Amino acid sequence: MFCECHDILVRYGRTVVLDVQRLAIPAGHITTIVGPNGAGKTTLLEVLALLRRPTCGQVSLWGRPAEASDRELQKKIVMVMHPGYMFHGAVWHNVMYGLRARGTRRSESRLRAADALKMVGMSDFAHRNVVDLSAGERQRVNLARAVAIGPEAVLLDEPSANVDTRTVALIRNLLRRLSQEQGTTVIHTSPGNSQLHDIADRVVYIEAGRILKSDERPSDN
Amino acid sequence: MIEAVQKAGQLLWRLDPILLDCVKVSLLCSLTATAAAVLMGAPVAVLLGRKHFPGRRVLVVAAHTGMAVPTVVIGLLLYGLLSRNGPLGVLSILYTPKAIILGEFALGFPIIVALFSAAAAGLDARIEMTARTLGAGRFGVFLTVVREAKVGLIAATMSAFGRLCSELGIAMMLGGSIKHHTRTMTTAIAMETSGGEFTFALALGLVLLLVALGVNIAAQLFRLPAQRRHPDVL
Repeated sequence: MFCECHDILVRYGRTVVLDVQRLAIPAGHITTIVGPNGAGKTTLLEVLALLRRPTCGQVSLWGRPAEASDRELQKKIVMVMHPGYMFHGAVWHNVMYGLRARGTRRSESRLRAADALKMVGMSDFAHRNVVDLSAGERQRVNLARAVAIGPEAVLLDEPSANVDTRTVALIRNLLRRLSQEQGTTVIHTSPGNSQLHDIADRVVYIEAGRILKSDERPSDN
Repeated sequence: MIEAVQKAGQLLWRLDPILLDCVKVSLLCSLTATAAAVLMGAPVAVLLGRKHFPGRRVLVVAAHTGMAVPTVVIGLLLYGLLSRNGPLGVLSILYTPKAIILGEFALGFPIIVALFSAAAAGLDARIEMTARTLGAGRFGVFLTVVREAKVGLIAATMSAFGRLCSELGIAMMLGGSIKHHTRTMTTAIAMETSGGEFTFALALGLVLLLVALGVNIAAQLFRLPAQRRHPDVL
C-alpha cells in the first residue's frame, strides 16, 4: 500500500480545505483523483508528497508514519506541480537539479538526465533556456526532471492541463510505462475532463475537501 | 583645475606609495565588510523575504531604517562600545582596520538585508516546494532561492560595496585616519583637502571613481545572458 490516511484535516486559517476520514491508495498502480477546482486535490497531493503537514490526522507511506523530516521517505516521492516552476537557466540544469540534490554521481546523473529528456522527446532542447519553451514543452521538462530521479511514487497535479493532444498522448504513455515497467506508484489529479482517465486503475472522487467515493477499475492496459 | 587633474594623473601613473596605501586600506576594509555582510545578511534576507512569522514586518522596517542611519552615528555608537572604557574596550581594536571593518559591516548588513529580502520576496512562491520535492535539503533550498534571486543579490552587494567604499564617518571615528595604517581614501581626501593638498585629494577622488566604474562593470559581467549554455550539458 502506498498510503493510508486516517482523519486528516488541513486548514488554511479558519477554512478547512481537506477533511479525509479514510483513504488508502495501492502502490504500483495509477490512481486519478477527480474533483472540481478548490476541491482539495492539490492539497491532498502536497500532504502525500510530504510538502504540507496536515493540521491533524495520520498519514503513513509504505507502512511508515509520514513525517516531513523523514528525508529517506521524501526522496522516494516527487510531485509534479501545476504549473511547474522552472529554475532559471537551461533545460539541462532543471533536469539535473534533482539528481544533484540527491547526491547522484555526476556520470550517472548525466546519463539519467539524457534518458529522461529522451523519454519526453526533449533531447534536442537540453541547451535551451526554459524561458523560450512553450507550455507543453515546459510540462515535458517538468516531467523529465521528475522521472530522471527514478522515484517510487510520482504525484502529478493536473498534468494534462494547458497542453496539446500530442503532449497528452506522451504523458499517457509515460505514466503507463512508469507504472507497468518500473512499478512506480502514479497519482494524478484532474478536474474531471482529463484525457488520462482511461489509464487509471483507480479513481478517487473528491469534493469540498472530502472523499466522495473510490472506484477500482478493471485493468485493460 | 586642469592642472590638478594632470597632477592627479601623474600620481596615479607613478603609483604613489602613500596613495596606494590609502587605496589598499580602503579596499581591504570595504571588501571584507561587504563579504561579511553578504555572508551573514543573505540568510537573514531570505528568511525575511520568504517566511511569514510574527515580527517580520518590524525587522523589515528596522533593516530599511538601518540603511538610512548616518555613518557618523554608527561610528559614534561603535566608538562608545570600543573605546577603552566601553564594554568592548578589552578587544583593543579602536583605531585599527578591524574597527573600520566592524563599523562598515554594521553599515552594509542592513543594506544587504533590506535590498536582498525585497528581491527574494518577489520570487515565485513555488520555488521552495519545487526544490524540496526534487530532493533539496534546507541548505539546498536556501541556495536555490539565492541562485534564483542572484541578480538581486548582485545589485544589493554592489550597492553595499559602493556605500562602504565611499563612507567617511566610520573610517574617521573608528580608524582615526592614521597614515599607512587606517587612512582610507575618503579620510585622506578630507584631510588632504583641509591641509591644502588638493591635487592628492583629487587623485584619490579619481581612484574612487575608477573603483565605482570597476564595480559596475563587474556587476554587468556577473549578469551573464540567461541564454548561455550550461557547461555541463551532454
